[in-house]
Amino acid sequence: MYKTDLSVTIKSLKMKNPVMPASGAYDYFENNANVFPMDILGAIMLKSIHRRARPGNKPPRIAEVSAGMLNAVGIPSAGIEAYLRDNSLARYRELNVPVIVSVSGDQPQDYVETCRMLAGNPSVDAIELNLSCPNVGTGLQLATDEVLLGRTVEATRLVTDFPLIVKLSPNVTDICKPAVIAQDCGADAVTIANTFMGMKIDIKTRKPFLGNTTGGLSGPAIKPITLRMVYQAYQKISIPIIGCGGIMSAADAIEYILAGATAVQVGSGNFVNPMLMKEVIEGMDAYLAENHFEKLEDIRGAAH
Amino acid sequence: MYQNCTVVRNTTICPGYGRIVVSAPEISAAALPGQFVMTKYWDGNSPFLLRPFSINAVDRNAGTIEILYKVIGEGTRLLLRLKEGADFLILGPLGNSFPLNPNFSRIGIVGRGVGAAPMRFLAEEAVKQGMEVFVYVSASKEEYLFDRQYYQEMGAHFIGSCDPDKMVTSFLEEDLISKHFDAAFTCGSNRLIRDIKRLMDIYQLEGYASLEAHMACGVGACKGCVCTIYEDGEEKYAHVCKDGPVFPIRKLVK
Repeated sequence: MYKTDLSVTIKSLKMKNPVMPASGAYDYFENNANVFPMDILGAIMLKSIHRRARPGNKPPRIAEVSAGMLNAVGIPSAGIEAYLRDNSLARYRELNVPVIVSVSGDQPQDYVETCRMLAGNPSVDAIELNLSCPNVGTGLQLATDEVLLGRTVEATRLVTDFPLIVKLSPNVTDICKPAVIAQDCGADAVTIANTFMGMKIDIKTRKPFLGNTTGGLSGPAIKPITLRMVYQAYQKISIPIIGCGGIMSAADAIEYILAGATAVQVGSGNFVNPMLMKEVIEGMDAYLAENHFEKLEDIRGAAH
Repeated sequence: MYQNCTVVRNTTICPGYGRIVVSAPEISAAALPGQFVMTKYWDGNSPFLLRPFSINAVDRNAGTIEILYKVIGEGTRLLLRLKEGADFLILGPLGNSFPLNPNFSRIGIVGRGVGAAPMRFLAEEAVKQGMEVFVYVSASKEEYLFDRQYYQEMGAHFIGSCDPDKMVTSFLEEDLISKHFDAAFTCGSNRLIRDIKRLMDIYQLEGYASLEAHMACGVGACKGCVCTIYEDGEEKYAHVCKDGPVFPIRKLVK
């Protein structure tokens, strides 16, 4: 199928290619289901499952901005117990692709409890801790508080054997600090990064446009910044980095690999182009082949 | 479906309003009244998000869909400039549809200005199914009573009004006094939705409304386009793109 070796391994998580959706950015079962077969993806990532049920934020939740969008969705979730009760994770297993469950909570203990409940679940291949949603209630982002970040990663590490990915916040001065803390506290990989906190004001009403006042900026607008963060973190940590931010083409994804990313996530680009992840996978393979590389590994971090 | 389609015709109806016809045989064959499409008709990433449009009409023989639009922002300004033969990407048809119960014998369709765009497709289907269709449209100017000719040609009763002192629902109410209607359909405006709820309670008819919302994906992934609905005595969020865009009015008004 591929002309080159695109495979990626993060502990026991084995992916045939490095491309997966960012959490909350793809519909696997209905309208997008026939656009391309889901099993071409390296992995699928679930919308964050919160510890407890949450309705999400009041609308409007979406605002378009230059070269991107703001979202203030606020993790609407049935809560982990409802997921387990309905066995709703099992349907993801049927997609025949590794399943990464994104988990979220209001406090460190929430993550521990959710990971404990997921222990040994046959429908799960890895866990991503969403410690960086800018839109949940208190505005507290666990990934921006070094003490809370360390405590949360350490505590969840103790209760899960699944590969543990920590999704970091870009809303920090130096991404290397939280990246090193995540590594030192037992993370198997970090995702760099979640959305940047931003806002839009409606000049007709003269009030914030989004129901939540602020939202998370995603899209091509943020790519140079998250790319820089991946580049910097790669110099400081040895665990794999999953690059996430503004990928709109295979070329964007290749830049992340050159900066040092092991894998990539595609977020709001999926909304604009439902075929994007397929194009990214094929485009990376073609790029490697055209440039006479045998495997993705050969170009990882090559920009350093 | 996600398909690269082609513009057949794009005409200005009156200043600031246009009608575009796009060749999209499979989408036209599959579409139901009330459904919408996500579209992209420019190169590059600006504007960023796909643009949602309701389907104004389909011509299944010609394999086309029609979109009626008002120029409001960057997306519709670009739309107005499209020429015959231009590329037009469509993701769709999306969302649920207006329920046309085979037992309905007479329905009322209520809208205002360009907001009534999806109603032409609904009226056409209802007429085809043998229903008697009354269409009530209001606008600030005569020229904004869009689709009048289409409604008349298909055999619907068209009642257009530019009277600023009369709400468009009052024309439906006048007819409700003498005739039984099985259902009323509307779109967009909260004001119309609330007034149709009032008529539903008095005259015992069903009511359905199509909603609009800011959305990113159109397919239920981004969870961005929520509206509040009332179900089983509870207030909750529903997704306009996937649970809607059509909702029973009794779920929209407390």
